[in-house]
Amino acid sequence: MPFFSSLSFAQDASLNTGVSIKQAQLKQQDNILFLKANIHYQFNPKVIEALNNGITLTFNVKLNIVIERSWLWNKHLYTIILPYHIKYHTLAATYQVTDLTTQRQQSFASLPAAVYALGNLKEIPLHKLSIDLLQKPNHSAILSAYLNIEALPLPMRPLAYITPAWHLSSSYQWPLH
Amino acid sequence: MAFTLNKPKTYYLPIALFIALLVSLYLMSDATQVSSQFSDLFSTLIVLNIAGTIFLAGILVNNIGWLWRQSKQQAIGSKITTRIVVLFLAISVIPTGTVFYFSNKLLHHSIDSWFDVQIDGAMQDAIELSQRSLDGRTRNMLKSTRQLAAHLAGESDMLMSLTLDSLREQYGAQELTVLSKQGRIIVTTNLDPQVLVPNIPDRAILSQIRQGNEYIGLEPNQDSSLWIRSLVPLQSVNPPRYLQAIYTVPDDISQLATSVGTAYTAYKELSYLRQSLKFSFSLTLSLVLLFSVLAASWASFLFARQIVAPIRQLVKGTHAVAKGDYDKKLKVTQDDELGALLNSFNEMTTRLSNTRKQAELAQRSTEDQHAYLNTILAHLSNGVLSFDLAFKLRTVNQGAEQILNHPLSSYTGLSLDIISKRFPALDQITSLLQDKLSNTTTEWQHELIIEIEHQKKTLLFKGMPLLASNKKLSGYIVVFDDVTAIIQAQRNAAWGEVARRLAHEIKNPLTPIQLSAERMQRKLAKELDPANAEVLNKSTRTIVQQVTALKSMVNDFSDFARPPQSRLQAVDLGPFIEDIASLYQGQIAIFTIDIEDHLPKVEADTIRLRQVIVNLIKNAQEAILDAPEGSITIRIYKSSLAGTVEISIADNGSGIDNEMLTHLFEPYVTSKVKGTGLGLAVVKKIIDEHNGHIYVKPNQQKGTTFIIELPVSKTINTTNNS
Repeated sequence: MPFFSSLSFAQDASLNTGVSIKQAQLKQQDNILFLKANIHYQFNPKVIEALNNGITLTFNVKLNIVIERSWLWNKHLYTIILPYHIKYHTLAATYQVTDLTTQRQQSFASLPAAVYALGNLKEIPLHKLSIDLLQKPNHSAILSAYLNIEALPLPMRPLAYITPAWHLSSSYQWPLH
Repeated sequence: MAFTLNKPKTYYLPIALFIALLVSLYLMSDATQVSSQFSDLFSTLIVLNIAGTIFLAGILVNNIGWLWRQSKQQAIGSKITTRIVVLFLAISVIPTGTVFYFSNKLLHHSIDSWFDVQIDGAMQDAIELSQRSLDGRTRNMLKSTRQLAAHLAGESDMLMSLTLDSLREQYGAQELTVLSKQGRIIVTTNLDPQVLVPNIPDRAILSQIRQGNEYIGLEPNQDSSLWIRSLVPLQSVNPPRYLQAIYTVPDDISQLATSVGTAYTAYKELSYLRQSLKFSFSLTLSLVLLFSVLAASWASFLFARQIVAPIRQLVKGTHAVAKGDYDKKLKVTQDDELGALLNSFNEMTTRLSNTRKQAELAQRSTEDQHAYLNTILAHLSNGVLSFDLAFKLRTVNQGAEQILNHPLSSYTGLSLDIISKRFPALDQITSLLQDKLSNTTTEWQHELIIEIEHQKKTLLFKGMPLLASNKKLSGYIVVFDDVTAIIQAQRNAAWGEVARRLAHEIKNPLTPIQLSAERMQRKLAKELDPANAEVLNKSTRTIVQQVTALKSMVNDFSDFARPPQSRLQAVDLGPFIEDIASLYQGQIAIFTIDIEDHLPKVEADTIRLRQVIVNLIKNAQEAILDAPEGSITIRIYKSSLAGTVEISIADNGSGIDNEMLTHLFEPYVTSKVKGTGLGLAVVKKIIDEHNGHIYVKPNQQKGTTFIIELPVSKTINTTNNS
């Protein structure tokens, strides 16, 4: 019987910010922790234009396991980064989403379908994490998703850093216990 | 004289920072290349370079602020610094700015030239050609899928599972999958038996197919090959089922199409990045420009400071020398002409300092000699005067003032003419000096008798010309001495010899004369008649009286001629004078004695001092004999001269002629009908024996005052006090 450590639904408060985490969950199954998350990516025209012009976008989904402390900053126990590519294939006129961790590639005829697939993380095994974490108080998980500007083509980076349209990120924290 | 060279280490930091920023700029420039290994550091390098540029800008602002403050305070070297900085900036900004402008323009042109309408069109045509080529194939594949669907129409799921694999082989499909309405896999078959999970279409495709539409699409594979996905609904099947067929595109076509697609994508990406590229290159160039200008400005300030520092030091050193600080040494930090200048300055100050020290030594030596001469002059009993060539008084010593009893030092700088006019009392002396200094060019000597304070003094003047080191006449020097005491002593000695001889020659026969006269009177008086006896009696009495008088006179002579035999002891003058005065109480109508309190004791021989006081009181008594209200006043008080007690005996009698005043204490000078004229001479002799001084002055209204000055015995009084 699967044991759900926590099931959290993030508020859809940042629809216009580009990225919002709708749901995040760590699930135990057969002594392995699985991450399930629903991240809503809302690309602005600038990002879509870049994508359609052949720019590959890299989105990182980062999971931090931290110990919350009252008087000090949180202590980071584990950090797992899951990078994803999304790019437009001109010849096939499809959008390709690639999980760089597993090198699994999917093609989508439309951008919304590709974006949905990008944000729909289904049972990603986290072998690095112990299932004991779910029993520990003061332990929290922080899931953040962001566009990796450093993975953009070099000439774009300076402007991307100073242009708000390229700052696509969201973060959500929930207790593990 | 060489001074240590201090090398500044202030350049190390700027040079290190300059090199670091230069390397950083190079790396940033390199990172913009597509194949650069520093691409990942691009953002970090930009941040580093911007931070470095801001740091340099901060230094520039700080330096400008410093220069502004310096200019406002009109500090030394601020104008030169401003000129150097402006020159440096002009030299750096103009060429760098020009290079920047044209480089930027050229860069923009170069980037724009990469893109051309024809190339755009060709690329577009190439991709369109590829797409059309593939479109024909996909349409054929759709037809095949429809035929496959027709084979499966109306069949149950079970039957489909049996026939699907053969159909796949028949139509050359890579994969065939029958899906439910929810997208669930009903039946699937794959060319590769290792593939267990079929490729599921995405939600959008499923949604499209659920609405009864067909789907055909080209999809890239992970290995850059292409495949064709097609979906059609199966007819006459309940519940609804959908057939998905996946066909692979032949490798040769797939590679060609992928190659065209990759090239097109790369060109499109480059085209899209055109503005970003321009921005990145412009940013790099701008940073290089800013860095160059800021580094040049910093260098200009450092250079200016380096140039101005020795100038400032020189100015400070010059000010110090102007204030008399010859020990000022400047730090030599440069090994160039300015350093040599500082070295020269230091050598100059060293020489000046040495010279000044020598001059100070010489001056000190001169001052010592001057002080030595002054001390000698001050303690000389002789009077010393010096005059310049215009006969102006230049030097006066204390001895001169004491002898003349005149504040001569206040006349310093006055000529003899003016001194003569302003102070007639010195007329005799000024006349003599004018005469001698004007007419005598060699050493001269002259004795002058002048009256000072009603006393005649004999002064012996000696004059000589004062020659400078070059033997030229530079003034005159006059030395004089009061020889009155010497002359008086000589006179006294002569009189003493006379008196001694007189006493010896006269006193011896007097006693036989007196005894003979008395015997004659005794023997003959009885034998003579009364008348003759009376004559004899009268004669012998006269002889005896005259002999007695002669004896008295001879005794006076003896006293005068007798060598000093004073036995000095501590005497309290108050009771001593009162004791003597008591003998005359009742004899004098008005006899006043005024004795000051707390008088110190004097050293005196009481017998001889009593003789003096008695003598003077008797003189006063005789002086007031004819005065209607004759009075005698004796006062004893502390003198204005330190260590001296004065006894004044004043009468309001007939007084003494001015003529006689000057010779009063000489032997055989008297105004009395009777008297030997030795009284006051003996008085003076006794006072001299007491190391005292006696003088007489006429009263303002009437009469005479004798004043005796007696020195206080220090040893006695010190003993008493302790």
